Amino acid sequence: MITLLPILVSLIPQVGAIVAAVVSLRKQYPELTPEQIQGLVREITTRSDAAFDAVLEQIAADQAAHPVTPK
Amino acid sequence: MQLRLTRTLALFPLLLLASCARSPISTPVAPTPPQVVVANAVNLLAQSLPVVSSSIIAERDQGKLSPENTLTAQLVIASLARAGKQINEILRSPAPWPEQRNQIIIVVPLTNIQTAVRNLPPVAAALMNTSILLFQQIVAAVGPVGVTP
Repeated sequence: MITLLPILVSLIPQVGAIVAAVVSLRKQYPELTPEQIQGLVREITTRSDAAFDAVLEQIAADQAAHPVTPK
Repeated sequence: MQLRLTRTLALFPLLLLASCARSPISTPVAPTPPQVVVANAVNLLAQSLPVVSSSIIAERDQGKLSPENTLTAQLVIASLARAGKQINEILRSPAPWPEQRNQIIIVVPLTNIQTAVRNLPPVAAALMNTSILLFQQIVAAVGPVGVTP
């Protein structure tokens, strides 16, 4: 258990982000104006775009480091 | 190995939670705007993809996934990420929701992705199918074309 602790601690940011995203799915909102809806959508999409960009960069870096020779 | 296993196992109960989007408590609240529902579903996919990508890379580094299969999986992940960004761009546009819906529906050819995933080894396929499931939730959140929201 003690050996797992550092691993679990390192996982917190990634799993925490997923849990936060799941909680957002269940969140209920009061009546919103169109401007408030746009603002909320902008906030959520900016967050997810950052995550998409990060994974695209990770893949590009990995492919550069490990090129696959076509057979 | 433990890190990868824990990461992979962490995804499945979270998927279960994500599929139970409705609260059992019936309190009178305003319905969540569909754009917000879709944006949150896209965000869930976005936060999950780095975990899937890292797990795929770890599988390759452990020698359990060939470089070619790794490339296939990474192309699928990249495809989903780009589709997610396209959907986000549509959601941020000033177009009314019915128009946004129609644009979102045609964003990703899911069939091509599912075909690519079918030929992957079991662990990689399971990881990729998780991502595809999350993407299908986005499509479900958008609703079928032709149905009034």
